[in-house]
Amino acid sequence: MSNELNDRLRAALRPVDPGERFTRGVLARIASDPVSRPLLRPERSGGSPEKRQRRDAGHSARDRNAVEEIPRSPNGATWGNLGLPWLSATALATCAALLLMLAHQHKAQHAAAGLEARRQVMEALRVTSEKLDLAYRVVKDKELSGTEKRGV
Amino acid sequence: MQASIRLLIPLTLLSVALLALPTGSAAAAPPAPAAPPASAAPSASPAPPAALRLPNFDAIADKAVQRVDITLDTSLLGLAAGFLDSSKPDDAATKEVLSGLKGVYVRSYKFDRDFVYPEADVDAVRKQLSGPGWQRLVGVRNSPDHSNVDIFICVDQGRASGLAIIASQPREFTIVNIVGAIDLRKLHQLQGKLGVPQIPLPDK
Repeated sequence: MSNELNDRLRAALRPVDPGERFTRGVLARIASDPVSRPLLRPERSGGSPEKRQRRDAGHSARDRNAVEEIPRSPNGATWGNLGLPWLSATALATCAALLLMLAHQHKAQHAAAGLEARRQVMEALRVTSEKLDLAYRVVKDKELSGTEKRGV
Repeated sequence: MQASIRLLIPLTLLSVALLALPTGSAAAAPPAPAAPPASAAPSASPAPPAALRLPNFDAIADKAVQRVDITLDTSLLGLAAGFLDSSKPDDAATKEVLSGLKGVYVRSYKFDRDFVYPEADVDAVRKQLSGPGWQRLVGVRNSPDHSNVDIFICVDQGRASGLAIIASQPREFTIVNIVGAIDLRKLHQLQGKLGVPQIPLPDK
């Protein structure tokens, strides 16, 4: 890049004071635009004047006149208006339902496993008893045949 | 609003964690059938002497017409006991028998032809019963029909700590290994129930 071009770019991009008139115009525009202004929320004003007076009695003058700035989105909607509480409530309900479903599934699986184990125990006992019975019958038969032989 | 978001994040994380957990699949699925009690890799605690090393019969499983393959360890026995109704006499008696047991292992195969199974495998189990601690209660050798039945009991410090039954015939064989404190009198209480025969017990 040549020095000449460099100098011309620097000259073109140098900071320029917009002037007093331009600044006044911008500030006046901000003041007249309702979207750009911070939302001023007055304090609660419910109840009778006496009640309000009593309620306010404990507050300092600064508190009474305090205003709360609520951030606004560019189109003027607050977070609450976007439906986020409903969204989070739905998500919470979904999570709770999911947890319940998992608990139910775990319980069902536990029951299935228990019943399967019970069935296997019964089957094992059946096989064991079958073989015990076989041994018992064979021993008994041998005893009987021995007795018969001795009797003969 | 922020509070609900704060609550939502851990709840979501908890849900994801619960979903990622193995949801009792080990308990829900039937126990691995071919897991012999003592043939697994040696663990920190040595296997009780009453636990036999059962061979892997997977190779002959396809040839069997009837197969019973049961592996119940302590946790599964406890689970099963929880599903026995103590108000029913049969269940109550079974529960009594199960109390104190550490494992029940059954391998029973029936075939449609003679001597399909490797007799050497069955004999290998029989040989384990010649080790210390095991006592033969019944030994039947029936030559004409080649049926053999052996009943062994493992005695540890004067108490029965295991039972083994090996029954073999030309077309079937059965190996039963019960590990744990076996009260033969409790088993005797099952006589007439679940097909358990009436076995005369020796006097103490």
